[in-house]
Order: sequence, then structure tokens, then C-alpha cells
Amino acid sequence: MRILVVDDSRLARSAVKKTLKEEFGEDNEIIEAENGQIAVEKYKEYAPELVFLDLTMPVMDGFEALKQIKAIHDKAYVIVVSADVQEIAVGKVMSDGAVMHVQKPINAKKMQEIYKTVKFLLKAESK
Amino acid sequence: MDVKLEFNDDHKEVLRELMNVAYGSATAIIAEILDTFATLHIPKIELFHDYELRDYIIGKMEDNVFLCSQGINGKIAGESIFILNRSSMKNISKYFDLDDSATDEDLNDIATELTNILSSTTVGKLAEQIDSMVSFSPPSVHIVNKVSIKDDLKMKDYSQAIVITTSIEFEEEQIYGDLILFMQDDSIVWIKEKLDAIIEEYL
Repeated sequence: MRILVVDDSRLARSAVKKTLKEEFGEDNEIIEAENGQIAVEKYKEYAPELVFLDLTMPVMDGFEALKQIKAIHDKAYVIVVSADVQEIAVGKVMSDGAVMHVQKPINAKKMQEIYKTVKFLLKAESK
Repeated sequence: MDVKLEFNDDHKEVLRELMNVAYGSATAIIAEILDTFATLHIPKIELFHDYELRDYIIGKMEDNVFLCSQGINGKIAGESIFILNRSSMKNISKYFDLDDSATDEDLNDIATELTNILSSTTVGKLAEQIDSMVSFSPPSVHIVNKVSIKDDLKMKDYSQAIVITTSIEFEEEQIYGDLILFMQDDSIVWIKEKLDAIIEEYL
């Protein structure tokens, strides 16, 4: 699977990549972006099947990046991983088409939930 | 202990992300209390020695500010200071249906409550992420000016402080606040060791 990991923090990107490998296996191509603008460019270039997206970032935040990615491909699977856990923020990203909102920091348990959800969605899509 | 610790760029980057997570949790609670939405900003992290900190604070502050302090006990031992200028406090008071006639006593009450939530949630969440626990003393609030701030800040008790600067931008009102964590030298050494372990594992 091709996966885009978007976060301005190297630590956060590394944590997502580490837990991804543990739950999704080693055979994934991981692409990284450090802000929303680069994420949109890389989304167009690589067309990843799954996106992990932070919200609070410089240049372009995750709220705007989510809208632009969904405008490119309305069925894009975007998992928001953010410290912003306000109800309004969660509601906003879900109504803009995110698959899930996960509170930072990411860990194995949360990644297992993501894995189950993505697996379910892919299975449903293939039917 | 007489230590002069420095944080390199990796230490600051890791601490920035840990604080980002911690501050996000605190902001969510405050936004819920005020029934509004806050835009989060990326916090800036600096480690200052006492003499640098005094100049930094005096340089940033308006003539009088609300200085809210709360003691921290545990592995991260020290004191958190939340500095709010008067215009920010006035903006916060609007969420509590207080108009321009709000007294300093009213504003003190609000500042005490917000500091309790912001400081304890932020520091508690920071501690949790580095496998620790902390407890807190009740917060206290003083209105201070540039002349008295040297005495009001208990900088003499600490040789260094971690300064986390951020602003909380609510839907209608801009609130600027500086959260400063004074830590005992032993705690700074301990945090640096924890940051080193995270850097070793992730960066």
C-alpha cells in the first residue's frame, strides 16, 4: 500500500511510520510531507491509498489540506492524527470526509483500530 | 546542583511535539468551558537561564499583566507561570458575560480557573507522555507591573526555565498567553534524559 504521512513534526511522522510497520507490515511505500501544501502536491504526484494527516501545521493546515485532497479524489482515505481534540475540530474533519480522527500521540492500540477500519473499508469497496 | 543545560534542535523539536499534544488537550477543555472553537498554533520552545528570562519577560509584557502561578510536584518539580496581558483577560471575560465593568477581582477569579485547567492539563499530559505523574498546588494570581515582576517571579529559586510561548485564538477573540515552566535542575536533567531516549528511538 502507498501511504502519505503528513506532519510538521519529525517525531510524529516517525511514530506513525513505526506503528504502521508494526500493524500494516513492512511492505508499504511511505511518503512524507511536512505541511499541508506539500501534502497536496505529493497526493497529486503519488496518489496514495491512505493518508495520515496532522491538523496544526505551518504554510497550510490539515483542515485545508483535507479539503483539497478530497477535491482531487472524493474517496481518498484520510486519517486525521491530531492534538486538536475539540469537538468542533473533530466534527469539521469528519464532515469534510476524514475516515477517522485519532488523538495524538499515536500508539499500537490506536493503529490497530485504524488498521481494522481501513481493512473493512477496502473490503467493502472491493465488493 | 549547578548545571548549565542546553537543549539542541532535536530536544526542542521533540519537546515542541510533546507540548503540542499536551496543549491541545488543555485547549479542548477550555474551548468546551467557553463554548467556542480555538485555533491551535505551534508552540515555540526555549530554554532560558534566569538572567535571560527576566529580560525576555520584561521585553514582552505590557505595563501590567496577570501573573498566574501553580506549583508542580513530582519528577517534573517546579512551578508553572501563565502570563496574560490585560487586553487578553478582558477578551476572556466576554465569554463569561462580563462587560467592561468587570473588576480585577472578577478577572482574577477567571484567571485562577483558567490557569488551573491550562497548567495542570498541559503539565499532566506532558508528564504522562514521558511516563511520569505530577501533582499540583492551588494556583494563585497577581497583577504585576514591569517594576515589580522581578520580585513576583520566583526566579531566584530556579537557574533555568522552559518557556513555551503560544497564543489561543478563539473564534471571536484573540487571547495571548505565555506559559513558562520553571523546573528544578534535577527535573531538567531528568527531562533531557527522557528526550534523549525518544530521540534515540524515533529520530
